[in-house]
Amino acid sequence: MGEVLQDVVTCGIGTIMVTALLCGLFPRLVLRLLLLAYPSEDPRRPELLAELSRVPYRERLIWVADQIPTALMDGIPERVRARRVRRVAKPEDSDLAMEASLDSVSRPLSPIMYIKAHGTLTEDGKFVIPQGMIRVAAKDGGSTWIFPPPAFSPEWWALRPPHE
Amino acid sequence: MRTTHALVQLALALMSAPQERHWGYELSKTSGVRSGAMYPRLRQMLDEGWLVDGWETSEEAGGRPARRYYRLTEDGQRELGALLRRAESDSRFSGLDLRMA
Repeated sequence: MGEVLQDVVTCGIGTIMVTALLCGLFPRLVLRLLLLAYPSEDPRRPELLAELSRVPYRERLIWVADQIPTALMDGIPERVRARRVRRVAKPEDSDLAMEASLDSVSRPLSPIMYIKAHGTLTEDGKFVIPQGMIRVAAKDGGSTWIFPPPAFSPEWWALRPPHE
Repeated sequence: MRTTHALVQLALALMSAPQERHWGYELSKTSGVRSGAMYPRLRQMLDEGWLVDGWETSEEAGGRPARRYYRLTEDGQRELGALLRRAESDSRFSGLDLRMA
């Protein structure tokens, strides 16, 4: 009787531990790894982590598995694109990027998010891009907005002699 | 944007409460669209200006990580309304209940 009880308890604890691992720790770990596919400033990183905390435990494994194709098909190209733009503009050196890249709750902002947050609408319905942002050509033939490198900041232009 | 089942189902869910804030997981449940297919659609809608997004406050989050919410813009309500009306006459979506449109 004691042995049976011991088996039940042992098996029960094992089952509970495996379940806790599969439904609790494992999905979060896998999701964190998947999110590395997105650029560091992509809002989907904090978004998906926050959503996972609202997904019932029994659904978490499937929910995370569902993110795999999107992270691979969506996240990696975005990350490559972001790296390419960074290489051109070096936004990490930009004063504006330093000031602008965090919103009021210290979440990273992409240039597009910054434009959306700080752009203004004129009376005749025209959207005015915040001062200092630069539009550059992208390799795919389109264009993208970047934070300016420090040399392009208004202060720099003001300090620079006109004949230089 | 290509009119697919996922987009129509998502439009239905968003238009069921056009003034409300929508959350990712709840939206996925309401619309029946897998979350992996839903987030790229939401992003496209954000880019089109059909949705605006924001983050819940720490009070609302109640100690958990703050979620991102989506809200329909006037443009979005107009565009998704039109999309649902078009879907009503499209035989591909005859299996969907489009009465909300």
